[in-house]
Amino acid sequence: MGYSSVRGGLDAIEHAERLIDLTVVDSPHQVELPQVRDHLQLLLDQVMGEGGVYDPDLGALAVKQAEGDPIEASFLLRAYRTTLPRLGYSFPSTGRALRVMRRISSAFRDIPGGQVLGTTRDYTQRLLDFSLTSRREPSTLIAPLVDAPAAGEFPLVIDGLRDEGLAAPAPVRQHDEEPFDITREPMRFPATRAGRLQVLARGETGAMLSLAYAGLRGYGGAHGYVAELRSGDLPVMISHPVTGNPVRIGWVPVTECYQVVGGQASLQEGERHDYDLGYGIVTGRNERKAISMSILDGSLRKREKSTQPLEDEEYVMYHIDAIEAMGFVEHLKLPHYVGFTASLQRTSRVRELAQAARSRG
Amino acid sequence: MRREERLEAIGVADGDALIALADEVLDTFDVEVTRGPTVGLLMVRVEEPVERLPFNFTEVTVSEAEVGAGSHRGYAMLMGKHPERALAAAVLDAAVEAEHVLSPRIIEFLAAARDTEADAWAARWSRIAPTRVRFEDMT
Repeated sequence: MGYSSVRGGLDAIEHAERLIDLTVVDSPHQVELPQVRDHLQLLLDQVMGEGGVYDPDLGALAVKQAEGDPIEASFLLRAYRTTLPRLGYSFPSTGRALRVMRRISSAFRDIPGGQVLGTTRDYTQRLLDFSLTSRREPSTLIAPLVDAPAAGEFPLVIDGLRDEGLAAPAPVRQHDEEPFDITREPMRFPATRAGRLQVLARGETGAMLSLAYAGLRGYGGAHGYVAELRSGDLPVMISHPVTGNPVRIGWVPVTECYQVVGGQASLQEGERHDYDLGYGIVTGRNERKAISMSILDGSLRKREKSTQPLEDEEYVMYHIDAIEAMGFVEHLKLPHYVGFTASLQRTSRVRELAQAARSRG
Repeated sequence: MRREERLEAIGVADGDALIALADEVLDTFDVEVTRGPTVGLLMVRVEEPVERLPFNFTEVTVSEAEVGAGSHRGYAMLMGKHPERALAAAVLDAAVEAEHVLSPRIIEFLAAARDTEADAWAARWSRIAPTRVRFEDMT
């Protein structure tokens, strides 16, 4: 059996590409993009979040083209974004400006404004619903028209902790340093907090869930309490180029998690507080990732770090990016004929030498 | 309607109706396209709550256009890949600035779009509102 580098195979490769194309479109029940947008919303949210681009039309196209593979779809989005110019930056929005559609706290029963369960599977049983095997009409929802919530009706739960002096107060003024941008610069360590948060926000849901779970089980994570988990629409504000005034051009749906981590000191100089905070924010409805992000953020914010992996920012940041991980792991299936041939030759030579040595006795 | 309110309304207006109205305006209104229409990315920044530190959260696709009409400028930026709509919106913005004869209709159109959006949000919230809850201790 011989191993050597090869050339050719173009016809076979082109045929394989056509097979993929057929897989996507050769069916009397082709997936339409509105179906993805309307009925595979959570997958779409995950893809847009991990792809780092919010655009439901492009996200739906990527999901269809990738046969529903979220990593492949987010890879398509990241590749596409490289073809577009950067036209500008929004003003930084905060969770306080969120148009809230769900908001719960596992730390406090009573929170100002009350809890809003919103759209959730938290209270459903995981039983297959066979009525969905065929088309059926939606169930009746009795919901009289009410006024939309007023601005400030849902204050942040962490504000209460801060008012009590249990957590460090927020700085009076926003930081004015230009945030690191992972789409423009390679990762460097130690990373800035801004860079860390951007990498976490683009991280792969499964990888982050796995690390957060490991953290909760004792591998260095921050086991805290969810002070608030909220989802809704975040305003996208720009500066009007003619007037210079802020203007909202639309909304991005997000999920936020404010994790309270016990026994950690805050970053306020000269003060120590009983609780520190971990923050998570992700595109769309993806609570699993938002909570995981807040756990990882809390771990990486620890002032006194152990040697546990989840308190090592290089370990966390290098291993949560789906495109990087997928590329490195899956490259192993590409031709390595030359490298493996060399390995075989070395192995064969070592065996010959060992045989010769044994013969000499 | 302030200029910023116009841009906000443009973002939620029906695209086909917006383009049709701009076509009507252009029958009697000369403009020069000075920017775009371009499809690109806007980096959305978020201020995290712990240190009030802004960071780059995600990009969104946007479409941007600007036109000039005499001494007046019309500008639009919309979320999504809608260059034709962005150009039409910039035309409408310039027309209102120039007090074109169709300005009242443009403002009426945009005000209706804004109201429709507000109604849609109220309707969404109304579906959610019954899930607002105050839990009680079982002890």
